[in-house]
Amino acid sequence: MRARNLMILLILSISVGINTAAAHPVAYAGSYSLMAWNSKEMTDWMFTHSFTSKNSLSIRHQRILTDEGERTFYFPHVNFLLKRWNEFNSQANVYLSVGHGGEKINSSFKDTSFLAVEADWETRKYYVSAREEILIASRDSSKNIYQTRVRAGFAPYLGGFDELNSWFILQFEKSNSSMDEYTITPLIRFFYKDVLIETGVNQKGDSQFNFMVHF
Amino acid sequence: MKKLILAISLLSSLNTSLAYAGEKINVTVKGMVCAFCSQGITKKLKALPEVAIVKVNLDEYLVTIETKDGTTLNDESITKTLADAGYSVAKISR
Repeated sequence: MRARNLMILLILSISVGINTAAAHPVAYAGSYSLMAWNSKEMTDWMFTHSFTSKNSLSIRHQRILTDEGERTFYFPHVNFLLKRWNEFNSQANVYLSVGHGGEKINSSFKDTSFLAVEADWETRKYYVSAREEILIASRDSSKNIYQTRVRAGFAPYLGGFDELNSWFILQFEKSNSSMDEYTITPLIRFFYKDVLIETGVNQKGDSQFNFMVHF
Repeated sequence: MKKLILAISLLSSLNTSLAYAGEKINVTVKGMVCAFCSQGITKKLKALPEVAIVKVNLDEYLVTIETKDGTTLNDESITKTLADAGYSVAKISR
């Protein structure tokens, strides 16, 4: 009964946390993907085309709620798969993303640069990843936003290629844009073929819902 | 004479069937640890004109390709297609 209640709580719980939509920034050659991450403090939408299995181009919209109010960014960025290790029972990746766009302030746009580095390692049972993302405001370096995200997860069962797969993930985030600098979020992830969804709740009781589709 | 003609006809028919049969290829693949990410394997292979059926078995690290009748697929094409999907080929057997 307690385990079932915990499962229900995880599924229904809501979290707020700074999060980014950039998991799997590069997919298979010729693919398109749409990723959407939604929480009280952040909305992050990204549309990506992978030209090859090693690089892709994303167009992104981010809305971040900071201590100074809501900030909105639009920018394209290029993503590179710097290195991949394919083994029979695991895969590890290192990605780099760079971009330049603008922050919408009133009716004008201020130059903003973007830089991110991400690494992950996974098996069919376990998963860890770490990501550092920086939004560099050209107008004032004190306005830069730094976001760190670390994840660890496990699969309660090994789903087949054409089956529903499920994961439990614990996410730790740190951002300088919020007074509550640290956020810890347990998430549950489901994916089936080309569709992935995640939902979770953070330690403050705020919700998060993430969605990704490849096509 | 009739039996000879019949036998020749049957043999010709059999040869025809064999000549147009598709090929079954087993590919052992590295890196297939995520069903979501591995969907690209099926998409990239099915985009090849020679390919009829693709089956993926994550437990056995195996991608099985069945080609269309009368066609075949060389190892280089298979390796390149799986590299485009983001994976490494360990072995190809037929």
